[in-house]
This record gives sequence, C-alpha cells and structure tokens, in this order.
Amino acid sequence: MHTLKLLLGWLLLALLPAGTILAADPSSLLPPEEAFIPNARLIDGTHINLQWQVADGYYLYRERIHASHGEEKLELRFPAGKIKDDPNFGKTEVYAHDLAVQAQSPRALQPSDEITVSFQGCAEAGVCYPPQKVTLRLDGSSPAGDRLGTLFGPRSDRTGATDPDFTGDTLWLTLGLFFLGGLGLSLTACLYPLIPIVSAIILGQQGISRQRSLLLTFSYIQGMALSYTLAGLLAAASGTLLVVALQQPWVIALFAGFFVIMAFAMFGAFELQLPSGLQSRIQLISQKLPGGHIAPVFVMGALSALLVGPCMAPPLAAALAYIGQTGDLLFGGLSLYALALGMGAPLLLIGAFGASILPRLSGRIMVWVRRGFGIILLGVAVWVAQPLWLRYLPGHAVNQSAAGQFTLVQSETELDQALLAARGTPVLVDFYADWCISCIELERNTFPAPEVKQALQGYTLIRADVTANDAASHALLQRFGLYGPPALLFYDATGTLQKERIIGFLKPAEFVAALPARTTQP
Amino acid sequence: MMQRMLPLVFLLLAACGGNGGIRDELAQSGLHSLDGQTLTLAPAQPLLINYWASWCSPCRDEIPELNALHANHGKQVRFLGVAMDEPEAVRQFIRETPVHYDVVLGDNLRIRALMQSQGNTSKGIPFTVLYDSRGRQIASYQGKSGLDQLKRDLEKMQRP
Repeated sequence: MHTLKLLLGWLLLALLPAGTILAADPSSLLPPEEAFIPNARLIDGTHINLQWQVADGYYLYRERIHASHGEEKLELRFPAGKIKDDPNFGKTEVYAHDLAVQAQSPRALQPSDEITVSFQGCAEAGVCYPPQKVTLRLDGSSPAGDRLGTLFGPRSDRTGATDPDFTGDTLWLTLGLFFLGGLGLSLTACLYPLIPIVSAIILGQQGISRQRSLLLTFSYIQGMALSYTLAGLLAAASGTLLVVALQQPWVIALFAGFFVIMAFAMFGAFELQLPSGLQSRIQLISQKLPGGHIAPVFVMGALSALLVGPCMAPPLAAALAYIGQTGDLLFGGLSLYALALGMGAPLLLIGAFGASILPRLSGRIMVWVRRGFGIILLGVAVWVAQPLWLRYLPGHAVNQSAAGQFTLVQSETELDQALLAARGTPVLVDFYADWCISCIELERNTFPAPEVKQALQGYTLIRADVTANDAASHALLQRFGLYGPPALLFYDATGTLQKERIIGFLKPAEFVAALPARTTQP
Repeated sequence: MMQRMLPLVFLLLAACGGNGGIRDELAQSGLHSLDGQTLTLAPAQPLLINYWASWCSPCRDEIPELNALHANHGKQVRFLGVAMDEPEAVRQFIRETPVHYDVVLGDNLRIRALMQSQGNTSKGIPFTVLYDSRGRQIASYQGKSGLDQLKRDLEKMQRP
C-alpha cells in the first residue's frame, strides 16, 4: 500500500511543481471529541488500558488527565511525554500523539463497569479546549458508539480494525494526493471531450457574468464529482468482500493482468472508449438539458463522468482497489471526491476565462503524462501481485519463532481436537494462508512484538492453515462465516467463542487494544 | 478519521450563520461580573467578545494585546471578556495580568452554547467575535493569525 502511495507521490511530484500545500486549514479546527478520542479496556481485574487517539496537530496535557471509578481515583502510569516550554505555564509535559496510559484500580472491576475520565488539550494552531469529561465502559466500546460501521458491515467488530495506513494524519496527505492525481488526469486527453460541453452549454449563454459562469462550472464539477464519489463509496462499502476476495491467487492474477492491460492502453497500444452509440446518446441527453441553470448543469456534470469514464478507467480502477482495502466509506467517498475536484479544477479556469486559456499541451506532453500513468499502472500491477511473489523473496521465510508457537490445524476435526486440548486457557485461532499478504504482515510485524507477546501470554495459539484452499479449508472458513483469511478469532477459558474478531492487519498497539477483555478468573 | 471530516461541514454551516439578536442572547445568558453584577450593554455600540480562560495558554497570551486594542478602540467598541473558568482562577489571573475591560463569567455550558451559536464549532478558545453597532456579526477570530485580522477589522471600523 505504501508502494502505491509512493508511486503516486513520485508521479505527482514529476507532474507538478513542488511546493504544493497540503497542510490543513487552521480555521478547520476539530471539536475536542474528534481531536481526542478516548477508549478504555480492562486488561485484568484491576488494570485498565486507557488510550487516546490524538489527532495530528493536537496535544493533551499530562497533568490534566485524571480517571476515577465512582468516587475512587485511579492511579495512572503515564509514558514519557514531550516537554513543551509554555510561555504561561513553564515546562509542561504533553502528548502530541496517540497515548496509552495504564490505570490501576484498588478494587477488581468488570468489563461492564464504567469509569470517568477527564482530560484537557489544545491545538498547535493556538486554540485550547475546555476540560473534557467522559464516561467510558471498560469493554473498549467508544463513547459515541460506532457510526457508519454498524450500517454497512464493518471490517470487524472493533473500531481499531480500520486500516492502519489511514488513521488520522495521513488522511489529508492522501486526499491531497488524490486531488493532485485528479489534476494530473485532467492533463491527459481524457477530459478533452468535456471542454466543448463546458464551453458550449455553460458558457454558451450570452452575456452572463464571470461569476455566474464560474458558479455554473462549479456546479457542473460537483455533478461530476458526485458520480465519482458514488464510485468511491461503492468501492469502500464492498471493502469487506474486496479485502478477502483480493487475497485469492486467481483474483490477484486477474487484477494484475488487468492493470498491465490498462498500462498498455496508457502507452497508446489501443484506445479505450465507450461504444460510440452510447457516447453520442449521452451527449444528446446533455444537449437537451437547458444550460445556464445550476441544476441541469449539475446533472450534466454527473453524465459527463460517464462519458469520460472508460478513458479514466485504468487509474480509477487502481484508486478504487486501493480504497476498497480501507473499507472506510467516508474516506472512499472523499478520496474520489478529491480526485474529481482535481480533475475539475482546470475546467473552473475555462469557466472563468473561456477555452482560449487552455494550455497548448497538445501532443508530446500529453503522451508523456499518459506514459507516466502507464508506468504507475505497471507499478500497481506489481503491487497487486505482491502476495504471489513476496514469499519468494529471500529473507522472507515465515517467521519460525512465531510460527512455532502455533498448533497447526487444517480441518475441522483437527481444530476441534486442538480446542479440546486447550481447555482452561483462552484461545486465539489464526486463519492463515501462505498467499494471504495481511496474514504474513501479522506474522512478521505484529505477533513478534513484545507487547503482543505479553498480551497473548496464557493464550493457546491455534493456526487454521487454509493455504490449500480445498474443501477442508472452505469448511473451516464457513464454520465461522468467514470469507477468507486473515481472520483472528478468540475463545475464552471456558471454551466460548468471543464476539470480538480481528479481520485484516493490525499494528501491535492496535492489536493489543482489539483483544477481547479478559474476565477475571474466580 | 471519519470524525476529521465533520469540521468541513461545520465550516460550511458556520459560513452561513449570522446573528442578529446578540444583545438579547447575552442579556439572557446569565453572565455576571466577578462581584455578581449582571451584564448591561449599551444599545447601538459595536461589540467585541473574547472567550478565554486562565487554563488556556494561548488565551492568556492574547490578553495584553487585547488590552492594547482596547486602549485604541475601547471608546467606540465595547470590549467584553467572557471567562470559561472558575471565579477564583479568574481573580488570581487578573491580579497578575490586569484586564482593562469587563470580564464576565457564568454557567460554562451556557457559555459554550452561546459561543457555538456565534459560529465556534470547534468549541476551542480563544475565540473572539466582532459585532457592528446594529448587532450584526462582522467576523470571528481564532488561532494565531486571528488577532492580526481583528486589528485590521477594528481599524477598518474606525474609518468612516
């Protein structure tokens, strides 16, 4: 995933003069409940793992963090923070990143218990928030409750299972990259069919002011952006399925092949277009709509997205595959919205100044831009095919030390035996396959981490190996309603399957946070 | 991450928000001075409201500058500091750093609601709002660059 971002980044840097500002607007400050998201989870009877997600550019004061259970104050163990030299308060310790604090209660607690947490923080932009006080359940549920997740089938039961690459601070960067990507796309010939539409229908009105025509163009772009946003939403909504589907070797091969073909299209080996019949029909519809008014122009924008769709398909498909992996609806929609805005930005210029200012980018530059995208697509193909070749890389033998701790099972009977043998201890069942890239990431990055090892102490580790992808593998997956690996399931010491499950890759800290709370043993 | 997007929406909403009855709102908000006097506002006078607190470092930084602005514009514009704070903390602060204009305080929840109705969706302070003599909101200011803009707006107001 980083590879893709890197590739995109390189191309964009090559395409556009450097120095583009991606920083967030200082006026778009977050409210405190979004800048600081607390979460509490019982580790054992008396210890609580208290976490804050601190948004980028915000910080919490250490000395203003307090927690209590009823009337009882909880003792807090803080990690070392950053020393801030405050002109008013002198040297103060602050946390400008996600924070994990261990709280100790004098009495034994249950996951269903609630504690009160208060904290206070500021934004680097020079704004502070009143002290916040929230009540947290010790089962890790978020105070506000899951929002979109419950509607659309989240990737897992936990909020922590969002793609680690997309938490917080990278959002703006990613959206910025998508915007620049759109800008880059608009330099290709793909958008040229739109220029006559924009100039004829929007600007064809005699004697309208520049403001008015800008407004019309803007609404046209919004219409176009709507289509793309919908595509992004669909990709993200299908995320749960897409993530697992993408792990199947034949799907991977198919996708990689698709990107290679698209790359060749970009190199000019052949032309991608809608069938001309359909194309002219869309054009006809858009001509029938009265121009000069905001709503019809908006509809035209939405239709235009279809018109240029096939030409845009290769980079769009890459973007959608990328978004599908995140499984985040809002992110998916926003990304494609940003992309469409980028694509539409030059149209705005046309709206303002007329088609005459269009750069004479003809011929050569456009060919090079297209080739650039072709190279990116080849890179994407390689990236998509990662699971197929990664394990052949030297030094990538599956981490023996971690693998050794797992009891390997390949069928339901073997699993039952292993579960039986593990009675009296909590159990982790890891659905794994050699061709599953996230499984290997978990194996390499998460399981060996000391905090994960510690959190898993006392667990019996069972690995359901479904590499074979045969009937036994399918039976194993089906038993738990899984589409495929990676998936981590948990049993408590009494042998009850926990409702918590982890789907997809999680970083060590997130992994620990996503573990089901251990109930105290009698 | 999703939550990070909401400010955009708020920003758009805030841009549309206006406020006519600021005097009524202030009068009904139960704000009072440190010695318990209820707030009185002269009609037909431009109004500047600065929300602050003693626990807020950037707010404290602003007070001397607001004092200076008050020295220049205090005759035309009514300055009002609204403290989201405990009375004792405010007294302590004023002993160290005198505030040259009226400071009022009250129920913090109501102050927060008032601030939000004036377009502060982030709920962060310092937050400063400027109203013209007809009670129309001219602008609001927040963050490091806010004061410079406020200075310019006040000067603009001064000129006929």
